[in-house]
Amino acid sequence: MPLLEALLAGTAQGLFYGLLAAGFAITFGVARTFNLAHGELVLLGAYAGLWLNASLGAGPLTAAAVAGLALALWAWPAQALLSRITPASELRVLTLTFGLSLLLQNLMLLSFSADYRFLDWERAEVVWRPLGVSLGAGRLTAAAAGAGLLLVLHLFLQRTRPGRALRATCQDARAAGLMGIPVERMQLLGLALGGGLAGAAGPLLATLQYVSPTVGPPLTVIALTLTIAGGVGRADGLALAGVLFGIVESLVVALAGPAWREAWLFGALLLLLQGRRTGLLRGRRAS
Amino acid sequence: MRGGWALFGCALAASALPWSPYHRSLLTTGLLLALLTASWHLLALGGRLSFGHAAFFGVGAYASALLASRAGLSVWVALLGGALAAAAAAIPVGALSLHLRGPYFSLATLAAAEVLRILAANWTSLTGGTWGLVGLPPLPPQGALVGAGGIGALLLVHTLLARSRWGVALAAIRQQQERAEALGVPSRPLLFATLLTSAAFAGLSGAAYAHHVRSLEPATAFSLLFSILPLIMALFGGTSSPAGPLLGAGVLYFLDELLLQPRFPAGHQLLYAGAILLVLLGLPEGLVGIARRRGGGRGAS
Amino acid sequence: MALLEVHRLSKAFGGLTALRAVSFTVAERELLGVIGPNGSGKSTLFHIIGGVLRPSSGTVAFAGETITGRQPWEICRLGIGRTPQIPMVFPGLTCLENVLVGAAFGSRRRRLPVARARHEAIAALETVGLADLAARPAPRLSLGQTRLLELAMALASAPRLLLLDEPTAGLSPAAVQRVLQLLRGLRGRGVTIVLVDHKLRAIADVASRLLALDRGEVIAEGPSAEVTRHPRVLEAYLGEP
Ligand SMILES: Nc1ncnc2c1ncn2[C@@H]1O[C@H](COP(=O)(O)OP(=O)(O)O)[C@@H](O)[C@H]1O
Ligand SMILES: [Mg+2]
Repeated sequence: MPLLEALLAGTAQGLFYGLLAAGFAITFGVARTFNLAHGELVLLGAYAGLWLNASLGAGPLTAAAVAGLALALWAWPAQALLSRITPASELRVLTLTFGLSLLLQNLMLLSFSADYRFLDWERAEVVWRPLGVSLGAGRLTAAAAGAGLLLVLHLFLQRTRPGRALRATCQDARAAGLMGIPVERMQLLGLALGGGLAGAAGPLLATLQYVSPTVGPPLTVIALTLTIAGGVGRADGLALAGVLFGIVESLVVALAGPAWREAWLFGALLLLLQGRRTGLLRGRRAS
Repeated sequence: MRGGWALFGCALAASALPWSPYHRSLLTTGLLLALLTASWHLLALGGRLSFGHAAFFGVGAYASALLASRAGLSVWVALLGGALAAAAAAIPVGALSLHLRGPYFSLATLAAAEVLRILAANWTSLTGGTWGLVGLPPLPPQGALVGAGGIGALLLVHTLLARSRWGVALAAIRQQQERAEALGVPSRPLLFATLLTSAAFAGLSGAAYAHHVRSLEPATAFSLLFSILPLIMALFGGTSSPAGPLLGAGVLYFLDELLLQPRFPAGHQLLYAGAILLVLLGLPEGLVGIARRRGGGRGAS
Repeated sequence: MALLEVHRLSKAFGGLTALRAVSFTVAERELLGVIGPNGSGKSTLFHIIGGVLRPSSGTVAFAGETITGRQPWEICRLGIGRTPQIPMVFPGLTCLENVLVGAAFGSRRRRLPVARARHEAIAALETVGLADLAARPAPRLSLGQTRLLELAMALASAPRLLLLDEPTAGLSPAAVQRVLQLLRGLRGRGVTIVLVDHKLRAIADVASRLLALDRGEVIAEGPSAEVTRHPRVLEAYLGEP
């Protein structure tokens, strides 16, 4: 029975992880940097959701929609920052996002205090019991929203013109530019999608766990790990990676205890990075 | 280089002054952070920006604390043990990270530091788990000198590098690793040696810190902060000479402790966020860069 | 005994076979030219000999010792120097410091103290005619000068065998002649050279023997005059000058 429980709960959690990673992966695609402030963007979305919930009684899905739209606006400051960094080496851009993470974390500490908060809503108590395993409404909602948004993203990237242009930009911005794709606009679109998906994940996160301004980094690490595993510009890869990750995580927690959840998280990242010898032969294919 | 020795002289002189206990304590912590930052910079010479020096800081802290409190060794011996333990921890960390470049190296060190933190939190019989260790033997009164002494030793390492072929070899690896290797520079062994040295000094800093604050828990000893601070302080000071990281650490730490923390206890870390954004967006060579441009554009190192 | 022996070397990148069972030998003091159109596997061959890439199968032996699987710096220390097709100098160093890296490390036969290495580096800069620019930052050189600097860096490592990947690409005719002249001089000093070029004419002049690659396979090998007239070589080069 714990096996089945881990499988179902892990799948549900994993679909949400896929959503958590989606914005991160798109941002990586267009900006060529891992955004280490991603977790903080998710938390900004979470705080927006908590506020909507407390003041207007919004449920998690409404809150996610509004927070997503709000956080999409992050594209403008992000693009301005990225274009101003000199010299723009990969490492400096990565360090910039590290600094941004620290900045947002402290701004949130100032604005929202270090208290732990949770998004409470009327249906939170509802529990579904498939095959004798109990799954709470929060987890199911987050999973369904994750799966839905990943599906929409997948269709957008595969079936629509702007989606295909965005994918081309992710693969090779220069070549895309030569083909007449407006690369700067695509970057803006990618950053907006990245911020929007992060923001939408926020209120859902707040139904799954307590949030506080300092819980961002592990979220970033999950997104980072799934992006390395699942690839950029493909929502289905992220969904699959998310589900696998979620299942293993549930198994680790069930078999070894919750203290080892983070060990799995960072261990998985460390192992996945081992395949990433960049340098010479990846970027330099010119005859 | 000369700037580095001048700052070392300042540190020694400051350690000898009769400060109040409060200010002496600040000075000790500041010097230990400067040592941590300088150790980070040594590895950066080889083009490897660590996001995980908290790993070595934490291992050094725990090893020294355990050697002094459980094995009953004198604090001085325990400090050395801490440095050695950190170097030993650098062996697996290096094996999992040094073949990576750029962002991938940085992220691997970050993950490695977190794995070590989790091990420390769960190896309860040795480390006391998340409760940590308390009542550690204190740093002797001359303890403030550990930071200054470590900095002096690191400056000696820099001098040796500059006088031998290894200094230019590290620069070559940093700038164009394939070409350096094609010219016979043994990059892996050299980077490994650099990482071990860097880790030993970071470990010494953590070890002294443990006896200075006299209590340890995994969440603080391996805190992400001890990975972020050396990165920010070194880039803020400027990485083109050994003086930069020392200057950056000194300026930021004392600004934070003396001016900001008393007034804005909640958000004082905004200083560090602001410093790093400033450097990346408008001050590419850090404080040392300003000094150099003022001084007529000549290299000061 | 041959200085370099390449035995049935193959390399696949995913589905693409870049080299297929390539074998050849290079005798001491020889200047072998490797020709072939773009994408025929010339650079891949050099990367494998230099230890940057692992072959899918096959072996490389240098001076009787198998070197496949060794690290690039070990291979350099055995006495194989290389210049890359796309210049890769150290941008933060001066010309002299660039060459110093080769002189201070380089071939294991002589590990020099830094002061001696500096002398060797200056000598290498003189050989290629860049001594006047010793103190100039490397990024401030023209392409022609950069290629000469690359040569000086490789020379300073005191190689027995030099692998040069298109050292004349992008140069003016006068600069090409200067490089070729330099290569003749090096040969006179006893350095063995393998020279890659995809321009037939430039190479046929200086090389005593040619090896022609096409799509990863050796299609002809022998004296320059024969190989340049070989029907399969002409076919592979159809449409290329
Ligand atoms: N790192 C790599 N990954 C995938 N394919 C590669 C890589 N390097 C070279 N190739 C391919 O191998 C073939 C041979 O390339 P190369 O050796 O550079 O040819 P040449 O130097 O003769 O122009 C080409 O088709 C090239 O695209
Ligand atoms: Mg080539």
